[in-house]
Amino acid sequence: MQNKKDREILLSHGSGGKASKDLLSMVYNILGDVVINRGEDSGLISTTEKSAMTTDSYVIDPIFFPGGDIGKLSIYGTVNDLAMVGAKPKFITVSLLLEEGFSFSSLEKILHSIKEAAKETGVKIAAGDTKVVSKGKLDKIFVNTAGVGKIIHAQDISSQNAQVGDDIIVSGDIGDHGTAIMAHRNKFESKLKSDCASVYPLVEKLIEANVEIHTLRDPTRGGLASILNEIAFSSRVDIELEETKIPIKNTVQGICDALGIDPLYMACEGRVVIVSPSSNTEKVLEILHKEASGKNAAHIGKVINKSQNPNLLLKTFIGSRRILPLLTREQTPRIC
Amino acid sequence: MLEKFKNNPKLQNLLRNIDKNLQDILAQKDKINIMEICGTHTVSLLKHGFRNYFADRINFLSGPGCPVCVTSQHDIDKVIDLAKQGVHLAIFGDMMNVPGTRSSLEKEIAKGATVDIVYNPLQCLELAKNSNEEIIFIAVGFETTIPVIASLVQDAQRMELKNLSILNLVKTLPNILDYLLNNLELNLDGFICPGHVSVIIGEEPYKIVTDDHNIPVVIAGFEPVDLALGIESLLDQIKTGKPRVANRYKRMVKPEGNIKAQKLIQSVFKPADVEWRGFGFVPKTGLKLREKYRQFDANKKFDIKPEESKNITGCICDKIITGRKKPLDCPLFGTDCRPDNPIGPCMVSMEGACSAYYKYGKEE
Repeated sequence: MQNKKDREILLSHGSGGKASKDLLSMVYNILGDVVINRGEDSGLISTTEKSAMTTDSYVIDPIFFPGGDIGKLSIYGTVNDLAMVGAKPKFITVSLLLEEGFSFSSLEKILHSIKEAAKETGVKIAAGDTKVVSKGKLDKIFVNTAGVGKIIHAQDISSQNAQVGDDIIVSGDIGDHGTAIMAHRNKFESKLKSDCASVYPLVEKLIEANVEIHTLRDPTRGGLASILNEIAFSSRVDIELEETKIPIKNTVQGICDALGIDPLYMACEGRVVIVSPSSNTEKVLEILHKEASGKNAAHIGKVINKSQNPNLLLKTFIGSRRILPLLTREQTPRIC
Repeated sequence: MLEKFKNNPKLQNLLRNIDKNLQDILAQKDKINIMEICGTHTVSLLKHGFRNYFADRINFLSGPGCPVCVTSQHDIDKVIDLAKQGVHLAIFGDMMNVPGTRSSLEKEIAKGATVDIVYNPLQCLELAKNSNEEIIFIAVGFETTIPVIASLVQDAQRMELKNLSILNLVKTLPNILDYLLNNLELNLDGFICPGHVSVIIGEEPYKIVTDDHNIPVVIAGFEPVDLALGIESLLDQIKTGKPRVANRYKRMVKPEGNIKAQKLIQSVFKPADVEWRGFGFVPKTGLKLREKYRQFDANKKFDIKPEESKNITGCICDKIITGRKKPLDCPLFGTDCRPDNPIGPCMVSMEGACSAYYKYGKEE
């Protein structure tokens, strides 16, 4: 008999028989009232308004990291993707893919994180699934979530909407998540934590204050430089950033320097980049600075001109300009 | 600390002073040629925008300071030949994708060769202890890395490891500068010498450049303020016509260097003539293991005989690392040769000039 402490997921937990039922009741027990589907094949939701839908899979290694875990990340990540088109997150699905031998206690911890994150962001879990695969066929646990949200912004928010005269604002320090993971993997002693969080509350505040927003993006994989390259390309504009204005923690810069990587390409999991007309910038910063998660928000650059050959440019510390390109090689695999 | 050398309000004053001195010097001559020897400096100069800032005024030339780039084609082929023999190789990551004459480590791995990437040569001790296989560390690097490689050899002897050896391809710095100045007409006005190497060797060895060739030298760090201080010193030396070895990285580099590390190197290695990409064999620019450590020499332990080596057609890496050409002069740059499909070593290594130009130096 396995005692509860070191119980492991077995193939039979995915067989559809009694063991599967036991696993499911544990899942339901922990998640409690954030689940609105009780064992039916589909969950029922009503959406009469204009809605957004998104999905993402989470394969981060390590699954527990400073500042969060794969469960928390899988809810915030999808909630943030909804927020980026101006949608209020309403429903989410959660699929857990488990490796045979994965520990029950880790699974329990992850489920508790999922519950907390769902409660905090106000999403209901409308459907879910568990699958178990034999050992070695995946690494510990992968999570897929899909989300549905209600559009609350009158105009389209899109990567194609950045316009000449717009300012680029970031809601806080960049690169914390990716750097915290890399520091953890390299066994650096550091107090740095992932910034893993929902950015919806910030977005909601801006929309409620009737700020005109052209583009919103969360700088996850590839970091600030990659998503701004995408915005420049999609909107056919050149964007210029000012290196002196970009908020980066000294610890993040130090760890990145030691590893020979660039924080401008390091993932964030709780930041948002806002592109809006420069006449709004003061108002945007005032709103963001009132919130704890936006207190380091900064105006970091601007859309400078239309372009058939769009570029992201960096005005460096010495006042010279260079291109910030898309990277051809990933700096840091499996960080989300 | 970091802020002080990156985002310092005094940086603007420093640049103004440099601009003024440059104006005076450029009243006498067309352009200034400065060689940065270290690959990390090439990256920093591009990344912080110095190349664009001084575009028509200072011509920055990359030198022979990227360990992977200076490794000769024959030595790369030797590494690949070893991989084919079924031994277990331990390498620095940058070596993985360097194309040999007929194959690369990446291709040999696909066929079943065992190659581990290590960040620290001492990781090889664990590898050897826990394995029955022959472990060979591919020892590339300059004075910065050599002390750790010397420690590896000493520790291996102390631990009586019989299944560990090194393929020694290390290079040493100052004499190659003398050779470069004697053999190539580069019209250099100054050298930015590497901060990391100088931490070990100190200031003295660079006197061969200032005293024998009358060319200014500065030892500099890698942040924007460090580089500006370095350039300021070179211009000052050019203007006054009094070359010396200036140390603008005093927070790291002592005049005498790290004597403990120098002694460690000397106890394990002795000077040797070695082959460089782009230069051929150069006297006293490398090291070989001393007799008492000969059992750790992969050259003695294995029969390494690659087929005849040939430089890659069209690739000008040999000219780039000797300051005779720049990455943008290469017809393959950015088209056939890219970081995801490198043809020469300068596009492979993170510190290679071509890879740095590809990442940071694209023209607007």
